[in-house]
Amino acid sequence: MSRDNDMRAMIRETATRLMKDHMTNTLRREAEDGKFLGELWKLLEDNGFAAVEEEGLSYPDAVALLEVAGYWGVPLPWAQSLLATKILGDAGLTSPGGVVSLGLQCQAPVHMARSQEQMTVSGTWHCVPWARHADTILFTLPNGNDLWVLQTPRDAFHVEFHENLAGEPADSVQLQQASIKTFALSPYDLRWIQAQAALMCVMTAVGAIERVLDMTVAYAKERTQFGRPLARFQAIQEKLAEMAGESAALRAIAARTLTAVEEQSWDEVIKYAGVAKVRLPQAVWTVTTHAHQIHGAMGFTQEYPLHYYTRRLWSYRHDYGPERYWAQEMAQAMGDQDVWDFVTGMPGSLRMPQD
Amino acid sequence: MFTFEPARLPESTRKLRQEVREFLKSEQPPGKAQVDAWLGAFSPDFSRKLGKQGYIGMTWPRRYGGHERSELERYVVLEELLAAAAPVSLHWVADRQMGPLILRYGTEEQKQRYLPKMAQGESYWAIGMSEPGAGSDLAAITAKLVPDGPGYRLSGQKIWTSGAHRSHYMMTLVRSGETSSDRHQGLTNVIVDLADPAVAIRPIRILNGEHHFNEVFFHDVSIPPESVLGVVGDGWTQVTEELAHERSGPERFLSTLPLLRSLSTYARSHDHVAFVREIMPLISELVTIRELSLAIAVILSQGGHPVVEAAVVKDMGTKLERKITEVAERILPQVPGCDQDDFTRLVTDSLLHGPGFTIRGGTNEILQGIIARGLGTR
Ligand SMILES: Cc1cc2nc3c(=O)[nH]c(=O)nc-3n(C[C@H](O)[C@H](O)[C@H](O)COP(=O)(O)OP(=O)(O)OC[C@H]3O[C@@H](n4cnc5c(N)ncnc54)[C@H](O)[C@@H]3O)c2cc1C
Repeated sequence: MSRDNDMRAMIRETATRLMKDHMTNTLRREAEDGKFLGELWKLLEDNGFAAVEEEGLSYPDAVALLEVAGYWGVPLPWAQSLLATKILGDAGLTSPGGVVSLGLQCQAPVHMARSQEQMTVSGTWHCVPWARHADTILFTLPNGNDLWVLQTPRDAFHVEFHENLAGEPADSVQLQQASIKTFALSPYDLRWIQAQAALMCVMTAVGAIERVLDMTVAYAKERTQFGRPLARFQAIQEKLAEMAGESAALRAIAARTLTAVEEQSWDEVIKYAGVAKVRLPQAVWTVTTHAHQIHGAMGFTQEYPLHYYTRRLWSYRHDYGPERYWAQEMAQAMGDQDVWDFVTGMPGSLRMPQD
Repeated sequence: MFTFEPARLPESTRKLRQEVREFLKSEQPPGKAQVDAWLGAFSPDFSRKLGKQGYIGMTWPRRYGGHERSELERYVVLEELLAAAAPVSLHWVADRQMGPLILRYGTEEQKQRYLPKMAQGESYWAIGMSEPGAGSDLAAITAKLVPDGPGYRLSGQKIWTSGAHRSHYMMTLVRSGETSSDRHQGLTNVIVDLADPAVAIRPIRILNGEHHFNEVFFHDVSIPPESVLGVVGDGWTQVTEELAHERSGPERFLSTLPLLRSLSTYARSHDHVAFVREIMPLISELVTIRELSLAIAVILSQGGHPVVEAAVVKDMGTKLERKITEVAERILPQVPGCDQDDFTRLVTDSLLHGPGFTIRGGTNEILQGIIARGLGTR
């Protein structure tokens, strides 16, 4: 266990150094203006950070790495690529390399015809991150009780451009009678995949929140009004304290979920990822609201870099299921259980108030 | 900003949890579930049984009546007692903070004298910090300890002393030296025997009329040297450490758990939209804050001093306790006060107890100040 932890710390350190050296606001701006940061992607690939592989980056380490992605506001389909390669690997398909994205939201009607070697598919997938820059997209395709995963090359799909709140590509992708040669039955059901995607989102948010907190504390110490730094005003301190609390809270629940990933207790991963995704909006709302308030007009500008993180945080609330969706999942997972039994993961606690 | 390792409850605690639940099933006195039971519900018999079962002083050395269990095992026992709204208030303070304090700063004689009885659930303690002129500003206390023969004499008063009328002793923070420019100097903790006739205890009733806390007057109480905790003048260090124990426990977010359980059961069958949209976020907050609090239990067990982290848990935890009340009130089909059923009664109790949650043990404003300082703002 502790060797794993050392390993993880090393991976995070390396990734952080990489970001420190290469990730700039200029790049963030360029990405938002439509440029794909190919060189940065190449760096991730060269360091073995872009894909989950049997001989390389482990899945739990990949999830943990996303905190770095969030902290540095990396405008790349990093999370998607990690999850997609994890699924492809476990489905027995070889990783295609290059930029891989993930299409989970397919809209009916989908048509498919399958022979031994190929599948012919028509359908539309929404909110596919970075589809316009992807070499490959992994689509999930439900069919009856089965879930298929399709490894779809660039020339097989058509992209309609859309963006999320952070100005990142969130495209619609169409397949029209596309013939796909690399496909398999999914090793996981859709709930599993959604929970992993939600966890990735939460982990990225943990990093982004940390960054926003760091920026805001630094700004409050530096900016002077009425002859003293903002950080000296109690009204400001109270907001900072709340931000720190929310940051610690989201980190705690993300860490608990990651522990479940390490233990491969998938039921627990689904439970805690849902809990975390329901917890996320409060953290995001409090942190971004206070951060902008403390930054004053400066934080409201495109020039000042706060928005690279706050706008992303606003998207994470909606990505891979808003709290509405995950609260429903939680309620279902809880079923008839008492609150305390659900919280402790153990049935049989006594003295319900109704006793 | 804060560093903590996620805590994973070891598999063995499942068995322990089961054990506690069995114990509660057979031993918890009958009665209705209450909010804030850890502060208000009491039973000498139940405290004694808990002691016998080894559920008090769990982490203390065996030679002082403890059981040398882990901090996380203790955590599991505490949270099950709280979840069941068990009547634990008599021994709670002794187990949570005075035992550990004596263990750390007391003389060998004090340890032998006080700890075993605490662990048996037969010795009850009160916290003597606040005074009329010293609330948040604890260093403003004026209760005065002056030398007198071989020992000391204590005059002055304390206020808001929870359970003083049922306790045997009060750990009392007093001023033993001259007030200097550093107000943290010259403070000392002494153990006051509340049966002493020179001590007068007067009840103060809380909002709903319950007798919970008190005023305690010292009319020249004679304090023998062996009742001084540790070294004279060391009081501030001791009190700071004590407060980390006082602030980080699961009672700081579970006071209204009985209400949440009741609310959740009600909403599941009568108001499914609310069950999903309003109750799930509350449960998600509860699960989350519990993880944070567990992580702190681990830091404490490793000998760390998570003062800032404890402030985070208490600040967020008490807000959650209040939020549960607010949501419950919104969903409640009855009028609070007309308590025909348990759900309504729990809302009423939570409303009337609620204002205390964010005050006792350090107000949320003060906690936020501690957190902000942890961020390096002052
Ligand atoms: C149910 C309950 C049980 C208690 N039990 C005990 C006990 O057993 N033993 C014991 O010693 N004490 C006990 N207390 C007392 C408790 O510790 C004090 O109430 C608390 O420390 C606050 O002090 P105060 O009530 O004098 O409020 P004050 O300190 O007067 O504060 C009043 C308000 O002003 C705010 N305020 C004060 N200073 C600042 C500041 N610097 N910046 C911003 N805001 C500020 C506070 O946050 C609060 O909102 C108990 C209190 C309650 C409610």
